[in-house]
Amino acid sequence: MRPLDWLVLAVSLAGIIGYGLYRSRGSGSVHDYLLAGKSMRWWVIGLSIMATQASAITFIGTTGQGYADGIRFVQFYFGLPIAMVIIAAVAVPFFHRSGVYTAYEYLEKRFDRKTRTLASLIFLIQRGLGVGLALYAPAVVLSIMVGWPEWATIVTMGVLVVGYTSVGGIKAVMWTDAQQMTVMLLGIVAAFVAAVLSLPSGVSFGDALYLAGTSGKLQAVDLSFDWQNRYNLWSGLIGGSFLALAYFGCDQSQVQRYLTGKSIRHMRLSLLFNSVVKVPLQFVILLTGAMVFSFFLFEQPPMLFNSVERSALEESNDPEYAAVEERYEQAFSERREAARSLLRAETSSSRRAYSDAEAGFQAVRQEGISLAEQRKDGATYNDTNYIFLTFVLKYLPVGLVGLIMAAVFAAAMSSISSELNSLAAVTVMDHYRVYIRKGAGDRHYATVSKIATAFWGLYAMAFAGFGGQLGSLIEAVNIVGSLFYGSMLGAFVLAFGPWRANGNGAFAGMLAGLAAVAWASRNTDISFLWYNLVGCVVTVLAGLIVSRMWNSPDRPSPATL
Amino acid sequence: MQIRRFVETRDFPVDLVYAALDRIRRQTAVARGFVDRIPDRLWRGRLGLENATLADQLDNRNKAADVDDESSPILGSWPRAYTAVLIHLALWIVVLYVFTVRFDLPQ
Repeated sequence: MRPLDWLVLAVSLAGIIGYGLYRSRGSGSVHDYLLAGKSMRWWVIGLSIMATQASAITFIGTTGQGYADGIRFVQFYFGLPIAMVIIAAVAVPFFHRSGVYTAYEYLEKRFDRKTRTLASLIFLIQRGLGVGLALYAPAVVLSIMVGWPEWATIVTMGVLVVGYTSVGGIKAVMWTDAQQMTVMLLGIVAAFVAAVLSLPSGVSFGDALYLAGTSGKLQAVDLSFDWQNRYNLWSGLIGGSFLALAYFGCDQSQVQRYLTGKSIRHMRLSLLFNSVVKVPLQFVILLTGAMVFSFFLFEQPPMLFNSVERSALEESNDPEYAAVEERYEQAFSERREAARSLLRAETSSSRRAYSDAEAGFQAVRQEGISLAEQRKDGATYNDTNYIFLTFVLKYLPVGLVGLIMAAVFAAAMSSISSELNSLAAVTVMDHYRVYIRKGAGDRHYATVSKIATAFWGLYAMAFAGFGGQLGSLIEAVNIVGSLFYGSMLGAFVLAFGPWRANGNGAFAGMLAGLAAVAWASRNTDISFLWYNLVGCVVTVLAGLIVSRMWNSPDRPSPATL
Repeated sequence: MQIRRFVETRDFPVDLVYAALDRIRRQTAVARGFVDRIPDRLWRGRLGLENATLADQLDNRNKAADVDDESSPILGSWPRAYTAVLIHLALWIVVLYVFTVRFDLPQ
């Protein structure tokens, strides 16, 4: 990065954080600190919801996925608008009327304390593991791309995020989220335009689409049904709906965003705003990746996008690597010529020649990847997250690089800050206020919330600091996270639904749902998107059966909360 | 008891009192602090009614109104807005399917 890029990055981050802190002044009470005094407007909430969901890895990984796997990932988001409509119509009025600080507090009002405690503990475990990863994963990529030591990236992002989140509370988080999402949107549009404009002369946007399509990168909708294929229309619509219902309807990091709405109208509009914007936005991000693929048909990409791994192999003076590198350059030249021939004259033979050249190129790259994996004692090598930033840093003009790097930092910080704030809210309101210090003053809980935010921030930095030594534990964390959502969603379906469910039923149902998902993950090959459906259905069924068998004291129906 | 009887008649504008207090509460931090100091019995139970049936009814009515009166600024009602969102999704799926048919041409 050149000085102008650093300047753009620094000014963007300073401006965003400064403005967020300015807007958060006067957050002295816990109501202000955790719920922004229920004063937020729909567009701030909507942007904050989007920013919370879009982590740095989402931002750089999705474009990388568009490059490597095509745009079929867009189907993953088809369920989101359906879920948003359901949440806006059903859950929002209940949450608003009940005046809760956390989603799990509602479960106590509707059921009992043990159900609230179980759900909030699940959230703390899941999100607590996730927040460390949310800091570690982008820090690794950014440190390599920017050239900083890993610890420096972790500390820089960590200190900035913990600082404004603990000082300003949810208002600072949401106002910075809104700015950060705006920077991200600018970055996405700029990256897409830059990718198209970077195509060599004589290659139009239509040509780039044609080449990407011929390479199988433009399958946006797959109508076939397959339980094991995570990206098809049906898994997106059904599995994606349940995942989005669980994430946006039960996860405090998202529920807390719309709990700050000044009215039901603002809460609903924020969700509908997301439901309208999300699919086209993801399509543009993925298409940017496909354009980068077409760009690299004419400009030789590195065989390995992770520069650290590439340098290590180059410095090893391994003759096998040198031979693979030579074959890689040859394969690239052949593919480039085949692509040009195809654009000059589209015939079945030129199409076949291009496909063969593409397959040959990918085969040689796979040889390079195998060498990298051998060097790491068989550990999996995946450089999807490095593809987009390699393109940005090497080929985009000065200034624009700074803007896109600011967007990546913004994406990282917006997710982490929301997670820290929600972890603090659940820690204080669902545990500290319930089990440790009941009936203390408002300011006391606000102070404890600040301390809890700082605690979770330091924990995330410590987790990220040891991230390099955690190895396969990181994958385990990701898998464990996806196991919990279904049963949590089931508990809320029991709470909001018209049926007679009670606390014992909801509690037992959640345990049954967790067990069912754990069993399904071990004994079946279904895609993880279906886990949420399994967990939710089992929780609801078991919850209703136990509610009938084992009555607990009458609780209010959802309509009266 | 006279106050109670008076309040329980429909003539007494409990809604207006509640709305006024709520409006004051929203205005400034000082006013909010003042109104928040009003004992919960008065605030929630409306003017010290021992039997808060009427108050609860009004409260629930206010809450229901809070939900129902807030019509969508887009298309006039929430069901229409939700339908529009789902149609928007369906259109995007169709557009992306056409895009796939047009451009996805692997050998």
